[in-house]
Amino acid sequence: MATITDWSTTTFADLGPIYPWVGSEKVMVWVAIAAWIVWHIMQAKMENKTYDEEVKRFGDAESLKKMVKGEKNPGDP
Amino acid sequence: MDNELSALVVIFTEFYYWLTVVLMFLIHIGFCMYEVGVSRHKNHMHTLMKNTMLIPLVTITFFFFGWWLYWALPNGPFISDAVGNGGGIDYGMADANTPWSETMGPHMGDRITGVFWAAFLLFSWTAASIVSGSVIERIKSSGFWILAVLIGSVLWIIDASWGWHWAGWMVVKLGYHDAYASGVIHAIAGGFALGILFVLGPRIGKFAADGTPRNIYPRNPWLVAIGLFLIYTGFWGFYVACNVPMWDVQSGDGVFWSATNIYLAPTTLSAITVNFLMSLSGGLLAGYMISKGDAFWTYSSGLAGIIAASAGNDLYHPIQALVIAGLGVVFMYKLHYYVERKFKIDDAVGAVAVHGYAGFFGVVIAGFVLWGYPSSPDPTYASINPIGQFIGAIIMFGLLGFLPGWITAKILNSFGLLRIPREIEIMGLDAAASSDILAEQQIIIDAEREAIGN
Repeated sequence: MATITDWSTTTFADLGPIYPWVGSEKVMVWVAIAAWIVWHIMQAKMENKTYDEEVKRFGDAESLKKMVKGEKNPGDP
Repeated sequence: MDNELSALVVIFTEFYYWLTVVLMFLIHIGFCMYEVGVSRHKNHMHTLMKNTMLIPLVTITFFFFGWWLYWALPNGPFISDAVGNGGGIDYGMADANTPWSETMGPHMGDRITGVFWAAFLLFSWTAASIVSGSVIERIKSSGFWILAVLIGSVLWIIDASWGWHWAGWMVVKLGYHDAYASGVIHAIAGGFALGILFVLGPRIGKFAADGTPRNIYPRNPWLVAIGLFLIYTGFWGFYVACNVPMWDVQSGDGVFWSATNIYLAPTTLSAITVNFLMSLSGGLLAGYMISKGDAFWTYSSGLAGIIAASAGNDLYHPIQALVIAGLGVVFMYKLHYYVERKFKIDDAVGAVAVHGYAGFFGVVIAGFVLWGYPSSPDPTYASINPIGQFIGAIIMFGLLGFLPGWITAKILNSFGLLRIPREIEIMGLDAAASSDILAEQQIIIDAEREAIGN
């Protein structure tokens, strides 16, 4: 696992990468790219669902009128 | 790194760029404060999160492909061959900057790639954050974050590769000069924002039934003021990051060490420090007069003044920087209100004007004031000229800014990913959070009443 196991015997001028798992960079990058795309999809679904629920809970015309007049806050019964 | 002098040069350069990154972080803090200060109470948290979350999204995508694009595309679409490869993609440089390149991680043979990557990344955040302010209070986060990745990790990177790279085709063929990014950051981001705004539409109430624009005033002027002061402060880092701190600029025999601009042409930190302050001053003075002392526009004009002079602030005399900044502010202010009335554009923070119009102006004016200067130490490159700068400004603002912004916004809109529902806009984007907070507050009030037997 460890790329470096002993600093005392290392010739630094010849040394390259020192992170773990040298050689598996492409795999790590593609996994991260997949996670990034999934994040966007999940976030978009979550946001749309939130708006749908909020419109159902507070979005009737009467409530909106009261909110605009400052007579009601979102969430008030 | 085998003797003290070479180690000192390398580690000084590494530290130099590291410091610029820390300073530039203040730009983002400033943008966040500014946007929240402008937004209404009912939208504060959404506004903050919208801008905050572009940080990780632009960061990872810049790591995935943005950095590679910068090194891959300087030749443009087979326009130049300054870096070889028959005018196509420069695989030689690009391959060393892939996300799986060993030099992207801790590496004893490379101390510059990571910190130079980070300096570029902070520019990417800025590009996306410029757009963020103009679209507040009615854009969906999901749509905005896709747009942020597009401007921050793709579009501005392409323009930087073309016009902000020592061998970019625009520098080689057009003599394009944009030392501190009037065009490559500001004009493109402003143009991109304008393209989105055309599709997104104004906030409810922004325009009267007869089309007369109304002001939606900043909710917290103190937050706006502190935000803009922080952006000014971060701009020091931005300016310094646009330089190479130590470079041998002497061609032929001999050695002469100097700071250079991004094109490796000589300048001095001293000069850009004076010009930064003079252009800030020119912007503030002109902005105060033209807006009749309006604080919001005066602060914004300080920023616009710097942006208007940035293309040539490596070479301008301080008085030239002062005057150009002032003229740029008058131009952007007038154009902002013309476009607002004519096209019913609701730019909540004036970002299109401050960054887009002032940046466009800055690129064009540099073509006249610096006419005949070499664009690069390479004598085969075209020299700086008004036509090259004007074409460059069109490419930045229009071709790589406005057009992709408009097209992408249209696509997002067709998928329902651009604008929030009308009801949400009226009740506020923080409605659910507000209702939860109110409910929890009520629970505590009830508990307190119970505790006193009432």
